[in-house]
Order: sequence, then C-alpha cells, then structure tokens
Amino acid sequence: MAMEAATEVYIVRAAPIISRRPKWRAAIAPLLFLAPAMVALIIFRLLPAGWLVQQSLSGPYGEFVGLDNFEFLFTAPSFAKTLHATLTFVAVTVPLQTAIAFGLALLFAENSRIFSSLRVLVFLPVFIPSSVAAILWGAAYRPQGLANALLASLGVSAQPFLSSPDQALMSITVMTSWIGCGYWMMFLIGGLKDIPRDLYEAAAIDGAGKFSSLWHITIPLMRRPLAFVIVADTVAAFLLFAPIALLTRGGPGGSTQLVMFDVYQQAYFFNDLPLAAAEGLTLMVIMMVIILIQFRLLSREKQL
Amino acid sequence: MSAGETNSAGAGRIVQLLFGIAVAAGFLLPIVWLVAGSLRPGSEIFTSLDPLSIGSFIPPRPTLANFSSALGGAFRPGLINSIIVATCTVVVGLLVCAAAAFALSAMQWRGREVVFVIIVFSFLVPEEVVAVPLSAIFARAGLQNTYIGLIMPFVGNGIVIFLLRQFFLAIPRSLIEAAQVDGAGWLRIFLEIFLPLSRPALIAAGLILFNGQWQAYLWPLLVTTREDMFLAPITLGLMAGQYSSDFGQIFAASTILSLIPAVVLLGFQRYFTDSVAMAGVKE
Repeated sequence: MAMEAATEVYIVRAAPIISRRPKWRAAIAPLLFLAPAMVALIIFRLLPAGWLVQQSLSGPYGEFVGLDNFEFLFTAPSFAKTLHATLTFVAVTVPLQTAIAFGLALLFAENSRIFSSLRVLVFLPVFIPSSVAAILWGAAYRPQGLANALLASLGVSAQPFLSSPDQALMSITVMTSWIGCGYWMMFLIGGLKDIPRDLYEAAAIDGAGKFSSLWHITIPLMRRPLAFVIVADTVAAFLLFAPIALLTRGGPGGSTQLVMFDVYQQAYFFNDLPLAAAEGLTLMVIMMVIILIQFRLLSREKQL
Repeated sequence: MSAGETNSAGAGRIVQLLFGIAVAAGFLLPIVWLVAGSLRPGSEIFTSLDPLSIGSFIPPRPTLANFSSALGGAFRPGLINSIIVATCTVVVGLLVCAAAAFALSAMQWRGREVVFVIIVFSFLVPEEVVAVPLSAIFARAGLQNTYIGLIMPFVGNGIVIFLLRQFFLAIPRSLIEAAQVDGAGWLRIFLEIFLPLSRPALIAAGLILFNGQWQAYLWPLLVTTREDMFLAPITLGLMAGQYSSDFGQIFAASTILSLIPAVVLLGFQRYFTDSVAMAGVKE
C-alpha cells in the first residue's frame, strides 16, 4: 500500500509538467490497484486449489501415487455411505426448499405494509449465525425440547429426531429450511415483481383462473430466478458443515455423515490429508456435474 | 365488478392474510423461544415447555442473569475476538475490493473485462472446499492462532468486487476527467471522489463482508487451536458440547451472537437513505 501511495503522489506532481506520461506508468496504475485482490485470489483460492490437486495425487510421504487415493475412496464402503447420505440430503433438501420458498414468495410478494412486515419475520432466521441455529435447533430437538412440546400439543407422541438414524437427516433438512427458505424467498419475490402485470390482466380477460395463470405465466417467467435458487441451494446443501459438526458428528449410525464433515474428519482426526484432498476434489466435481445438469434441464425447457 | 366478486376477493384476501400470519409466526417461534430462554433461569428452559403455554414463550419473571454469567465466562473473549476480526475484515476487505473494483471500472486498459470475469469466477470457488488445504498452508506459515490468519481469507470477495464495480461504473466519467485536468492522480480520484460518492454501495458491501465473517464456522475451527484465539461460534459450540451444559448461558450467548448482525444492519440502514440524498446533491 505504501509503495502504491508513493507512486501515485509522484504521478500527481508530474502530470501537469509532462504532457505524455510514459506508457509503462499508465499500465502499472491499474495493476497496483488490482494487486491486493489478486494476491488474495492467488493465496487464498488458487494456491490451495492447486495444493488440493497435488495432495490428492500423493501418498502419505508426499510421493506421487497417481489415482490411488481416488481408487481407495471409491472402493471404501465408508465413502459410499457418505456419498449416499449427501446425495439423499441434497435430493430432498433442494426441491423442498425451492418449493417452500416459491410458495412463500407467492404468499408474501404483495407490497402492502402488513405483508412486507410479515415477510421480514420469515427472513429473520437468515441473520442467525449457522452455529447459533444449529445449537438452538439441537435444543429444540431434545427429548423435552420445543419440537416435542409442539407435537405433544397436537397429540402426537414424542419423536427421537437427531438420535434416530431414520429421522436425523430429515431433522437437519427441516433446520436448514428454517434458515434458508426466507433467504431464497427474497430472490423469488424479486423475480415475481419483474413479471409485467398486464400479462395477468390479459389472461384474466381470456378467462384464465388463478392456477392457470400461475402455471402458464408465473412459472415459465420465473425460470431464471428459480434456476438461480436451485443452483445456489444445491451448492449450500453440498457444503453444509456447522450443524453436522455441532449436533450429530455424522451419527447416529453414519446417517448424517455429509461429505464436508467427512473431509474434515479425514484431515483432522485421521490425519489423512491426501484422502481428504481426493474427497474434496470429488465433492467439487460432483457438485459441478449436478449444476451443469440443472443448467441444461432448465435451459432446455425454454425451447418448449 | 359486481358486489359478489368483490366479496369473494375480500374473503380470499383474509384467508391469505391469516395464512401469512400463521406462517410468519411459525418462522418466528424458535427465535421467540431463544430470546425467552435467555431471559429465564436455565433450569426452566425445558420444564416450562410442559405443558406448552403462553408462559413457554414469555418468561413470567425475566432476568438478565444469563447474560451477565455468559459475558463473565469463556464466551466474552470469544465475542471480543469475533468483533475485532469482523471489524478488521470489513475495513481491509472494503479497501482491497474497492481498489480492485476501481481498477476494473474507472481505469481503462486492455484486457479489463477478461480480468474482471476471471476474478469474479475464481472467488466463486467455495471457500469451504479449499479450507482444509489452506489451513495446512497457514499452519506451515505460522499463521495459526493469529488475527491475520482469521481475517485474511475473507477480505477478497468476488460478489463485493462485482457490486462495487457496478456502482463505480455509474459514476460519470466527466468527474474523472475534471479531476485529471486539476492534476489529480488515480489515488486521489479513488480516495476523494469514488469512495465518498459510493457510501451506500460501500455500506452494502461492508455488510456482505461482515456477514461472511460473522457466519463463518469451518475456517475459525480449522485455524485456531488456542482457547484465547477462539471466535464466538467456536466458544458457543464448546459451551453446548459440555457434559453439563447451562442452557441459560447458551441461550444468552446465542441471543447476543444473533442480535449483533441485526443491530449492525439496522444501524447502517439510516445511512443508506442519507448518503443517496447526499450523492444527489453532489452530482
């Protein structure tokens, strides 16, 4: 920063005297302004990404082992279980949250004072840090917690939630939906407001009912914001970490062993950095493939 | 429109309103339980739920005892660390990102658009994926358990650079040219014209940077091993993981951690309108 300032002051003084600045100086000014961000980019993104690739191809002593780590990973039953839990979680969570967020957007899009204040209440959980949300819901899911108290008031018997291999993953989905749906709703409300009102009026004149105009006008015109929400939610679901680390630690019976937590465990509890790197890369690739498929599907519908 | 149609539309609106209130109340319920729990003795948090009543959500004898015991215990150093780290992230991050956005908008040079796309897309690589190798690099470089180690990975942010660039592009070129005629260099144009004119965008960008750091859990977990360097979310996790957890303290600490971003946002909301009005005068 100090060097940058010195150069700049020099230019300031020189400018009125020298009418034509040397070419290299004109070229170096943008570089100086870009330098801090570029350094951050290289050190905090590209360097570790390169290291990830190199580690994933190395053995425990840093020797090159080719694709051995990946071969080990894909034949290990523990990774099959992790992959199964993660894909189940993504496949349930993303459509559920998108549908709820879309419903919320339709419900709260109206710009009246009462609806915009209700909208803020739905958005409020976004401000809660993920660690707090995890601990709060962990307390709510305890045997005598809020969730069972609500069920009891409806006459439903107490549920084990996080301590049951059948319910733990779904309980995590409910928790992340509480945090996420209000956030995704805001993007979808933005999309709803871009739809021209006269389309609905024209449809009403043609005798279209509410559901018909929802199906034929709203949903087709909401494809772009919906695509954004689906892709961003997919990424968020793949990378979920804090609630698993704080609440279930992968259990019970490996039912919530999601991939980010597994990477963390491989690296810090089993000290197997090469395997953690191979798993991290695999996560990246699977995530990208799914996003590409989503893009393909969502843009193909356009031609219909 | 006939009277019958108006009536059915009115009834539909009431149903929509009631449904909306019920949904919003559902989303709000865990937060109300959190705040109520922080204001009552820890032993009552779960007993007050049986049976569920209005008293489960409104403590009959509210007390701040949990807050004073949370702030007197291990949570305080964590909270102070979190505030220091988040503040530094916002200040350094705004300088780094605004400088980059300035080079990518106000200055004209060949290859600008390409560099812009590369920067924004590279920062889209999720920080979580590179966190494990990055923490190994930081451990080798001796940056574990340092504020620098906690702050630096969050100062470069593709979304923030994108947002600031959009705002900078709207600043008229005539202002740059006029300043250049007066003999101002790029640094002066940046500090004295672009930054003051961009207050609303800088506040929005600062909130993004703040939230990114405040929400972080994985990175602070990886890069700190000493208790005195833990950030508040890590301390909170340790409080909840203890064998005999005091839920009163945990709920109080959680309330503080959730309240701070809300206060920051509300506090800065005022400046949004202020500075837009000011910028209008200056134009």
